[in-house]
Amino acid sequence: MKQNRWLFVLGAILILLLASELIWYSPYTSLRKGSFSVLNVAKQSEGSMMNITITYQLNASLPLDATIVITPVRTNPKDLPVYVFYDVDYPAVGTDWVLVAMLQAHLKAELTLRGYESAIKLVNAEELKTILLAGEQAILIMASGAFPSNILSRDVNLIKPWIDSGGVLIWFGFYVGYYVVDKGMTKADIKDDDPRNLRQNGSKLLGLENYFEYLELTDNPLVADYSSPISEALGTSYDLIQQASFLHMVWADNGLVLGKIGGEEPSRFRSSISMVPRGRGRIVLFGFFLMQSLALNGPESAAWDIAQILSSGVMQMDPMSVMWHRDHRLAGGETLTGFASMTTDFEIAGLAVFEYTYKKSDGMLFYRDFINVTDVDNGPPITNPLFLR
Amino acid sequence: MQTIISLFHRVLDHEIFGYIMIGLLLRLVLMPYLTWPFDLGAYRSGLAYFLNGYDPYFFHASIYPPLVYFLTLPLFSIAYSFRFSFNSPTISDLIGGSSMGAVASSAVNPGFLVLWKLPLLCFDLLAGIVIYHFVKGMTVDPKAPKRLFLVWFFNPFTLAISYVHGSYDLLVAFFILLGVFLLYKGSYFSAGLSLGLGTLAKTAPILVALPLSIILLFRGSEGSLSVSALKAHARDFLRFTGGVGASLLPFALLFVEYSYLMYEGISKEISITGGLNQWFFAADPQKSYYVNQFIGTIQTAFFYYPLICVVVSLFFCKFLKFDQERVLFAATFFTFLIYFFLPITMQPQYLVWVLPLLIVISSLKRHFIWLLGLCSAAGLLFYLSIQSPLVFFYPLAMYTSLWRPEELVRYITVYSNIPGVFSRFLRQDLCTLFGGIGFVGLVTTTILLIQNLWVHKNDEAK
Repeated sequence: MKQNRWLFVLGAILILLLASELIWYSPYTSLRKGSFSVLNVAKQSEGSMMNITITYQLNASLPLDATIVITPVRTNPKDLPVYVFYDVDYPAVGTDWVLVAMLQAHLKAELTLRGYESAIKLVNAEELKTILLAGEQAILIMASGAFPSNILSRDVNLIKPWIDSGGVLIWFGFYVGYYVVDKGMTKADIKDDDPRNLRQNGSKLLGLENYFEYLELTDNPLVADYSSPISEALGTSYDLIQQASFLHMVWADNGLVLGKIGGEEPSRFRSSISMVPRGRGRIVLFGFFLMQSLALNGPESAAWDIAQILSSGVMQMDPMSVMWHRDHRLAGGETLTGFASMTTDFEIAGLAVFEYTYKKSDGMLFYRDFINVTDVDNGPPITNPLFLR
Repeated sequence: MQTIISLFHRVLDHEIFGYIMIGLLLRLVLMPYLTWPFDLGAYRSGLAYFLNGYDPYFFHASIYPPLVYFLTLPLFSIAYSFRFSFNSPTISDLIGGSSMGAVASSAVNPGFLVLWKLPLLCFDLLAGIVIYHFVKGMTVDPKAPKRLFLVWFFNPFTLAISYVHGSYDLLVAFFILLGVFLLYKGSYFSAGLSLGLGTLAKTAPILVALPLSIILLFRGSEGSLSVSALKAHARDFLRFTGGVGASLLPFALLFVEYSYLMYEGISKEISITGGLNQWFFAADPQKSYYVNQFIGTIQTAFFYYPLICVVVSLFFCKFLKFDQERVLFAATFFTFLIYFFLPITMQPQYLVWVLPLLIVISSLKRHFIWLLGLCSAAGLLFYLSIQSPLVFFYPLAMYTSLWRPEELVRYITVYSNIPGVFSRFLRQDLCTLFGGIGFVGLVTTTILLIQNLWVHKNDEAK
């Protein structure tokens, strides 16, 4: 009989777990009631500019640390398919294939949370070649630190024409195009003076001449210290700049600084994440390799950064406009109504509205929408926008 | 009412009541302001996804099994309904990488830490009570139950990994202990239930349950087994495995996802960075590089572990006559065996899985208490050597004026960079040293367990 006491203990634990499971699976619990909605959009023209005011409502089920980002965009952001290059028949340089696979898995999770509607797939060198040759509009993530020789080498350059036709390349590593690897090579075969490597010519082939400065690993500052306005708005955290692109070159090309800024002197300031337009496409440059898991600049935090970039509409952002953002902290069960006011020109196609929660937040809530400003009627301006609680 | 009052008096008068109170106070002091910053992000993010109704495994937000979340869900839901919030300004402020790597700094709201560690408090106490009853039923020494309860309840290693670190390995220890206790008592379904619930807390209990189920089915095969004996064994086997299944089935959806994630995680693990098992020398980066050249082979070998323990348990059945005590020794042996096979890097907190069984065994064979002390000390010192004991104090520095986080970072950085004697850094030397001592403890205990399985008191009597 005495041993049955322990059966009661086990039974009690089991019942507690089952009750908890029931609550978790039930759609009617208070855990999942947070919401974000755009209540109203008002537009008023003033000469060549227009003032837009957006009224939104945020409702928290759990305590919420939310940020709302509104980006003036030139085209309606589309969820392009995302391809992550992963081919273990080629060596990864400065990182590991496991980390690349983790990047894809975490990116898939992060984008699913944000309601991204296209596939996020791993592709090998042959599949990648097919995608590039077909000129498919897509996002390609090269996080293995080197290009396979069937894509970019002294004789082949499938990347540049693909970008020019509207592709988006996201690059991690030593500066872009430096290393080229052949099928069957191993990590031990990677040599800096290997004739296969394009070295400084790699970036020229991609139209990024003078973007980088070749210095020994110990000669460049490794970490960026200052947030840029966009990194602050999107909460991007990647901060390595050892081989990052120069800030002045990014700006000169109508590019955007998406990451942090650092460097020894203003003329050599670098950005940890930069976006540069090329033809109809874009190149997004991360300032160094993909680092180890569960660390800053590892696959988890890099996936977060990429998801933020792809979800926020910043890829289509008008470089002359300013991104609007505001942080809110709500208690559990609280509702907040807020306004966003911005002035922009008539070149924009609309506004990308993006709401996200930081990892530190108890509640999680993500929202994305596109507001076509041409559909919005002119109306009286909303003056003195205040937060109403 | 009278019954309740008399029960209350019995509890107050119990010989361990005072110690329980002191132990609980000690734990309550440790809970809010100490934690292990490397795992904190994982605790926090997995739970956040779960509380928001997202599957933490689908979103790669957790490497912890579902039991942790189902246990903490009611606690946090109640706390949220009282408008508590647990956000923290530095939760993902992680510098560096693996536990053997650079400095980590991260803190979390003390309220979160208390709620997170509250289930540990319950299972810790329950484990102590099981030890007390287990020992009481095994020994004639009237002082042994209290003495061994105290060994468990005030073991600095257990306190550190549960109330400083916040690791849920104590739950695994409890379920393995209770499972073995119930098996010892011949309550097979309950034993299976306990090991099944333990499996929802970590993979180890199922790896103990597997060989034990084989032993239940084939025990006695050293002689000729009659049909009726075989039938009886089959009934015991079915009860035991039925218990395991009964606890796993209701949580199968998340459990399968978790198991797949674990499988993927282990098969993709790219490095062995030292530990308390045979890879202790990999705490030194150069030796780690050598070991990791063979990581594919090592991983393949690890995946054969279930087959290995089936073969070993069949071997035992062929040559040993199993009684209750031998089952206890066998269960302890198979828990130890996991350390040599899974996981590939043996974190110090995993050692707690087997400590309660060692404590119980020491009531039969006293020398096991010394091995328990050796393993606990090695585990604790290894743990403190990784980044210095200061690394646990981030919440204290963040939320009280006793310390400043920058000061902590400075001291920890200084510690991390102290040159070593035979490795690059002192911390790597210390991890190798204490890992080595822990390994000696594991090997010695395993050998003694095998010896005790063979030279058993019944055999001695013959």
